[in-house]
Amino acid sequence: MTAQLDELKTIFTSALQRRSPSDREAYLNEACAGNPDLRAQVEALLKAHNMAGSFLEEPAVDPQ
Amino acid sequence: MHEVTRILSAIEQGDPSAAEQLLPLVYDELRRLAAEKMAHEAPGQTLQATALVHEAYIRLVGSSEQRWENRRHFLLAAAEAMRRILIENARRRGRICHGGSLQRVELADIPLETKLPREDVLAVDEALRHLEALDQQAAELVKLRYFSGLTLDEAAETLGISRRTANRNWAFARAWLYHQIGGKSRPPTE
Repeated sequence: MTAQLDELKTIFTSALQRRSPSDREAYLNEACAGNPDLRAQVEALLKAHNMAGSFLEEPAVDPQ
Repeated sequence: MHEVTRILSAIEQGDPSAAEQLLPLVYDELRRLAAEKMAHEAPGQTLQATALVHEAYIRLVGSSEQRWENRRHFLLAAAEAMRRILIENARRRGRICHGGSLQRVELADIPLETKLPREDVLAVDEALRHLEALDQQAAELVKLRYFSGLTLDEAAETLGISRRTANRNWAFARAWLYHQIGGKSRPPTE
């Protein structure tokens, strides 16, 4: 796992822990300062997290 | 049963060829069990990964196997085997649908009690291959949960990681895979 991915994972996790939008915004401003690409990636993951619903939460079933 | 136990020990010893021996054995057993179950179940029944993997484990390894390292090797192989079975089935269904005379079904026509597959397993498989290259531990967690049917706690225990690490990896992997698939995780109606 690259250092980039680890950083992405860490910031994503930390961002999730901040429940209020303003807290999260402030955290991301600080954590991704000077790195708009990283910010974009984290935002994309946060968006995916919100939209994922029950994705993968149940084991795969095989409808015969 | 003894054969699989021998292979599991070999894997634990670091024998690189042992894992390759395990997968076909587990694959064959899962296919056999799946066929048995389908022969006895009512038509339209879905195949439950958890029950199949558990039964394969009992038959191949035995219930007395306590060593978590061996459980881990087996369950990862079982996840990989289930994955292949599901992919093959999905591809076969895809060919049948494309070649046959099935009409395109509009969503409004589907009776409420019909279950659509929750995720496009082919899309998940492809996205998972990318994740494996980037983050093997997160990918293993997904495989154990999604293909072997383990709970997050069971998967964490199997992999020998903390609950906290498992939560972190799970949240990340889900979001990453969902994003990778492009949010279109449901298969098109056939």
